[in-house]
Amino acid sequence: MDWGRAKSVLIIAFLLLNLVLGYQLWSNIREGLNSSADVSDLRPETQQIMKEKRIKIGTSIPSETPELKDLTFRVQTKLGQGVRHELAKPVDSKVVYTDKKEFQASLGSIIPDLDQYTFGEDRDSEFVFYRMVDGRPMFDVKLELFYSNLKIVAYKQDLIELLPSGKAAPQSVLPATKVVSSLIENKNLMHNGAVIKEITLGYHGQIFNSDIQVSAPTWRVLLEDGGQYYMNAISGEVVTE
Amino acid sequence: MIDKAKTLLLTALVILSLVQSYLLAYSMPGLGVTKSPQQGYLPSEPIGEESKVENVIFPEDMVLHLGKSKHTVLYPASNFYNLIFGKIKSREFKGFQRMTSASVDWDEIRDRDQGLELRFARGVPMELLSKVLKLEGDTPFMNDVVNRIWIYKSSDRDEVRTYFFSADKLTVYESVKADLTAQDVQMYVGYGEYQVNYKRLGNDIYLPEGPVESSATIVGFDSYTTETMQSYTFLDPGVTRAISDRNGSQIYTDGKRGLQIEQNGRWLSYTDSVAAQGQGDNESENVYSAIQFVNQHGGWDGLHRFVYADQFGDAQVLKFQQYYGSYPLVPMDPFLFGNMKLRLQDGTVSEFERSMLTLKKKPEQRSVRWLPGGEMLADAFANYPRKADVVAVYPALLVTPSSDNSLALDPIWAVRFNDDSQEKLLDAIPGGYKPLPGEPGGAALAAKESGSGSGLGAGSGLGGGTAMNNLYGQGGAAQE
Repeated sequence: MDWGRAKSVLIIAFLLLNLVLGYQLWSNIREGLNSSADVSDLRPETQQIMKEKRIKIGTSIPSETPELKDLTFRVQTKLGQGVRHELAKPVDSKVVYTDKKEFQASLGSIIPDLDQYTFGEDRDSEFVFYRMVDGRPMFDVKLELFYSNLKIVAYKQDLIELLPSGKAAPQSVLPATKVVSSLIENKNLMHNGAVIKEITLGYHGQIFNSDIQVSAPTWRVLLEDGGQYYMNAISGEVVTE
Repeated sequence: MIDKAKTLLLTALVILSLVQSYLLAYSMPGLGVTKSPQQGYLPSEPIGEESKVENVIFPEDMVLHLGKSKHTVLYPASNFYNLIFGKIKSREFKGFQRMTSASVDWDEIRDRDQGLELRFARGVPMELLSKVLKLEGDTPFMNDVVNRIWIYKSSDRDEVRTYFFSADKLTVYESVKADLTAQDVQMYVGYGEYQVNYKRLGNDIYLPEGPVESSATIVGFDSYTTETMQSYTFLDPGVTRAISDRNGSQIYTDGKRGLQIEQNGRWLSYTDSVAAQGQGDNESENVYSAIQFVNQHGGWDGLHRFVYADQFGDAQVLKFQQYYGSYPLVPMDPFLFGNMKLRLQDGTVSEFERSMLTLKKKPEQRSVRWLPGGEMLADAFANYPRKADVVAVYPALLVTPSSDNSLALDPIWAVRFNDDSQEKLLDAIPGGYKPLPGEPGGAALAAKESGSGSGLGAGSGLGGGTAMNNLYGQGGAAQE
């Protein structure tokens, strides 16, 4: 047998195999980098329901599935029931949209832990900031900046102290596509013609009359009309506010 | 030379393909290792007794109209109550005709015609009642809520008429094809002959003219442990956190569900932040879910009566009133006991409250007490400050913790208000003394009313006795 010939054949075969594998790997990596999916990544059944109920997704669907665990934290006042502090000197509301440094410089001396909060949304007459943990928002812990006539005049803040979470091991969360699909497929939840505006991974929990609160990894789905759904990112259960 | 290069290239390609395969396999979504729960799966053996819809739906009381303005009242789990309710359950009610309530003078029928009223307090959805009674009606009827069934023998003709009263107080349904006979009604009413007489005050309230027997009991209890309740509440009890409430009670939570243990491990409240899916809540479906939920979360401690509640927003609140013997348990504020409350949306329980205690079958101590009747009760009621809001007056048992492991159940007259809260009206006569006619709490003196009044003292003894015989037979009313 001609060993040299056989080698050539094997080389070509492996070259082809490597090309195929390489392409697969590359497309996988690209998908990961892109870190988002869109409607076409949902199951065909889900897409069918979306068509029937005229549900649209006006955003990309995150495809990240990081490992997260519950947060335990101590609150100083009841969440959402903090005191409204009036600012002695109103600040231009533009600072909200400026870079972090400038924002920090203008309000950092007045509002404690300001660097821990990140802009979430602009509601009428108030900016809502969320407390961040490892780059993910805690939906229940807010900093609200009240503004009128383009000036920030007051703020209300939920101040917390994160506690070590003990023995619990982090678990990888459910992918957003799965969670959104189950939300869409649930007969009673989404109304006809709903438009999904935003899908965010963060933390949310039931609030108790206690100094210590627990928040679990949660996907939040915001609708264009203001409706919102929280879904436990570990179990996939739909949660109310 | 070329041969060597070929060998090297081939080796490199083989290794590269292996590396790529490895990377592909372990970066593919869905192939990641799923972690198992931290605590092994606990088999949920049901604790406590299970129950069914049929066992929690029964009338709060039965009013027997003996004619000639004489009335008497039977309470659940007493002999005559069980006898009558058992017979009515075997009858068929068909051919319902709708009419307005105002078209008949009910007070006149009450005082003149022999008959009986089964009263369901705030009402029971017909669909559920049809699980207990044999009913056949059209859809609008089956969708209604009924708070009273009235069966009477019209005095002019020897004919039995059966009416179902809607809780809206406007509509009445007559069952024109009910298989009840005049003899039946006469027999039922006959049971009331030896009971204490009740006087009717407007507004559907009946007060006895003589004393009513009850008993003061001290009964031990067992308590569920927090761990047991945790294992029924959480999918994975291993990941729950314990935090303490500002009031000092313990809360266990997994971020979604919360289990709060109050009063030193005696009261439990569960909250599940479940999404509102409210679109056309089905009441009956909610009641089934509620019963199933209680079956799985501690079960039923003795007899419970379903209490209908209205919708609150898009959720429905259901209550089950606990009984001991014939009488409902009313906790002494701030102690929490005697009822279970559930809040449901579309069959999903979002809130649940119950006691962690279960009463022992045998009481530690029991002694007879007489509840005052006659003028003493009538005066107490007439002078009651919130009299206008009262919708019912009934004997009950006031529950107070008497020691570390027992509860005291003391007979009282209780009143219930429109919002379903209950309060004490009057205590029993202390020391087991039975007031004689003419004494405070006793019947009126014989001279005042001819015949009927004098027999009251003795009659009440009989009536109370039947209730007392059944103190052990919890659950008797609905299980027949």
